[in-house]
Amino acid sequence: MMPLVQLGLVNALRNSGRSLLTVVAMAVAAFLATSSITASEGHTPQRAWEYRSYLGGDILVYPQWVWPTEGDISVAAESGGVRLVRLRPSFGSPLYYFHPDFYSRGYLTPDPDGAPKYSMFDTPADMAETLEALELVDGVTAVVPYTCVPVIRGEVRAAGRGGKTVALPLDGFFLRACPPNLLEGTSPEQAGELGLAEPQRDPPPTVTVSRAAGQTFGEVATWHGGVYTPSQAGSRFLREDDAGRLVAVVNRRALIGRQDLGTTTVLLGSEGQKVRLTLPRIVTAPDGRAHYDFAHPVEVEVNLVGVYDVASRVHAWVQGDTVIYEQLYLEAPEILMPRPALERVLGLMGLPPGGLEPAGALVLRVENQLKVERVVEEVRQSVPGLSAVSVAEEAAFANAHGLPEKTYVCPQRRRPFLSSQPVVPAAKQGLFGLTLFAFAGIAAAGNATLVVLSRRTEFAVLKAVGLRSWEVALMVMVELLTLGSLGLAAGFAAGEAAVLPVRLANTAAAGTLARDVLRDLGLVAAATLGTSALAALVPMARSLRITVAEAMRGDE
Amino acid sequence: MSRSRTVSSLASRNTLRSPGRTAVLFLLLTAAIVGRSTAALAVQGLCHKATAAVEGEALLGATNCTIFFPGVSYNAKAIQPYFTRTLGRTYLAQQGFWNALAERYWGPGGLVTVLRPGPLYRDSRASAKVQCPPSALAKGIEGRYPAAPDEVAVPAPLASEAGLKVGSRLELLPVAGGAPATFTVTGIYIPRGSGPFHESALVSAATPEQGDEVNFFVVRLDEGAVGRLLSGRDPASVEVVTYADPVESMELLARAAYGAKAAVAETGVSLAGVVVLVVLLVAFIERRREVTVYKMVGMDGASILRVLATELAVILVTADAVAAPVYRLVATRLVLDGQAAASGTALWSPFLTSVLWTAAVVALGASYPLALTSVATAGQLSSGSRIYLIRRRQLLRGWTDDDLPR
Repeated sequence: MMPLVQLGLVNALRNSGRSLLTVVAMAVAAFLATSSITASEGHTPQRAWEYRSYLGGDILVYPQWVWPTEGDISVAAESGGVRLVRLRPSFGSPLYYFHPDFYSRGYLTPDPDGAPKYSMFDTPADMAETLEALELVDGVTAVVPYTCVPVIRGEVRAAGRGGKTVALPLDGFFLRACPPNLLEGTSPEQAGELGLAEPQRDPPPTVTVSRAAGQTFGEVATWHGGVYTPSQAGSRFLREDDAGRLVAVVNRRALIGRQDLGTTTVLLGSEGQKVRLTLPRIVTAPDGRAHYDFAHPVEVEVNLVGVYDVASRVHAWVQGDTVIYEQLYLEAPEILMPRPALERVLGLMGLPPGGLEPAGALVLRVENQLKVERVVEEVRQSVPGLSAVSVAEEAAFANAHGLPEKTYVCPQRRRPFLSSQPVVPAAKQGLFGLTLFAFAGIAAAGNATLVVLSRRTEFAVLKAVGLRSWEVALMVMVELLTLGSLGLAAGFAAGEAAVLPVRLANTAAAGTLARDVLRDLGLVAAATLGTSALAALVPMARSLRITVAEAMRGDE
Repeated sequence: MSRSRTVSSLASRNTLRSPGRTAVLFLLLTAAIVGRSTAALAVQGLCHKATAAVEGEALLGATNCTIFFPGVSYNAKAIQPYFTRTLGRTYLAQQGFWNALAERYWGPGGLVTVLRPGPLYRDSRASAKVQCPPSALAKGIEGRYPAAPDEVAVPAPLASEAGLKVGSRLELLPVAGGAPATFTVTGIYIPRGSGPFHESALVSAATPEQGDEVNFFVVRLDEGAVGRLLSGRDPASVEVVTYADPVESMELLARAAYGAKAAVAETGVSLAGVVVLVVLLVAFIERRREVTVYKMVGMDGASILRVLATELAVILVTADAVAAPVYRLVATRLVLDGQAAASGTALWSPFLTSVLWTAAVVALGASYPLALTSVATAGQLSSGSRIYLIRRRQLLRGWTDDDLPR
């Protein structure tokens, strides 16, 4: 037996050209197969972390058809009734900045009641049922409702030009429950990478990097992104011990976006600034449904104790030999309050205990970003009437459309703009994965067939010197599998290397990591090495039937 | 026998005498053509079905835009020259063109607009004046349209949300300030189209002092006209809302949703090219002796290439011929749900595209083995030595003295 194995290995070494071809073909096949499996891996913890931090989680669950799937569209095609609806300005949700066109031009939905108006849920029971279903999804660690109420009127005092005090309107803002990860005092373990950033001074609006001088953005950027309190005397963020006190912080960039006001400082004394807000009344029907009544508003006084900025991303454009970077800010018009305080406000607005709170979305926190896209798929299955999307995908879609931030310095022609309703082509990964697998299988099988068929004379000679058919087959199989294994190792390693940063960055447990890699290896080996070995059997059987005389005559 | 006839006869004989190889290629190509055509037809059908599920209008008739001048009003006749200059003469002839005097209030759900229908002037003569009917907004109504200025008809979605019924009293707060206004709900109407503005548009009757004053228009505008309307105006003095076309939006959405399927179908057909490449490479190895004999009896590379290409073409044409009825059967029985194809173009255009696509893929897949066959010499083929499309030595080092003819 061993001499046959040795002979197979010697053959592999001697015929270097053919062996190299086999290894390369198998490596390509293994790479394709590995890529098809790992295509659905998640993201690094750094991906869209500024948005995730502000939202308080990694996955957004929206009302029906915000991100329709292929299945949604197919079902609607059967039942009909799809129509264009427009979200009301009073519907507070991340849609306000990620999809502002839903509020202006409208979006399609088959919902018979049209766009959601007060909350994405109809009744408290609907909301409780959905929360319960989402908490059971594997990988989801927390579900936080994106609860916010519209502000009809209000104003905040700020320092204007020449030391004059100016009143900045809060009309159209929203009062929103602060996500727990941002509260000062939250443990770093609980907040993870989504915690509140350190206070800092305002960075310059733009920085210019000279490509000719070999400069990089990292060398000139001295500030950090995320949610933070700008360095300003008297300003602070919300704390865990604020609890039910009616304190709030406001998005400074949403206030000073109007640069003609020439202000960057909201006036905050040692005790903050008292702000009177006019809010709509909440009217609840006996069946639990609720709506806002703007005709009978209520007034609430909150204490503004600080301001915050959300430095979300840097927009870059090239101008000659230089690259100009503009720091962009998420100008979400939101006043954050501790959740217990917002619940008090909801009570003042007329919401009875246990009533339906105005939730414009649900934000889901997952263990880590490693499996976030797989969790999104599971969420879609568990709440079929709603739309689910990872914040990373949502941010990528919005950024590609020049959203969700405003750009002030960048010239108009350098800004992307394309508005459309997004869609989830649900079958994309599965079908493409299958196709890549098929490619890999065909490539491996074709290669194995060629290797065997091109050596028929050699087999006949080996039989002439006394080897039996099964011994020749064993020798060839050893050669094929040895070369195939080398190719598999190279291709698999290259395929896995592409997702290694995602896996390592998420600091997944070593056991989980090893289990994932071994599972991938098993699938890829079956698709490539297995197919290759099977594909070699038929031509081998045919080749081994050839006699020495036939081979010598060249009678193939 | 002429050369071309020899080539054809050789190709036909080879095709018939290699049933295994011929069958593999034939089945593969037939499946690829039928599969791709059916997938394309299915995607086309799904998109069509999806667009048919959409309520076709967002606003009235063919209009797509509302224009509101807050805080001011204009004489319906006097504003005509301005509109004609800004929007073009055709706006007056638009189907569904409608105007009103609008008042904004805070009410259930947020801002609501009370519309008091105004007059339309089709030309400069006062005799062509037509009163905008309130029924233009509705497909039906429970109760009746308002007859007095303090009566309103409420859209059904708003009535359902706020629990309003015919006879209910509705108190609204003017946005401009002042005392609350109280209206009586005389009707609950089902809005025409799917326009969202209908959800918060209350219809009332004209006041005696309103006359010909209007400040709210429902029109159809292109982007250029919207730009002209907004240019030079303070954005606060006019509010233009343009609605997307629901059918166009759905078409885009459906294409994006099913696009992945179509792309995978295309990629799947590309597999046929890879398999053709593999099958022909195997065939090339198996047929070395045959090609050697061709070359020894004097056939040049081009002639051999023609024989092999003709073999492939015969298989491809046969596959096309067989795929056509199979595709028709699959399309009419499975994809089109038993209905006879309404349009020949709709049915056969995916098939013809697939035939061309498959031919291109086959040509691409066959190019390498065919090129090897044509450049190999009889000596290389009979001795089993390697065949290069381009000599590496020449490619890397250029010609050497040893390569020069002596």
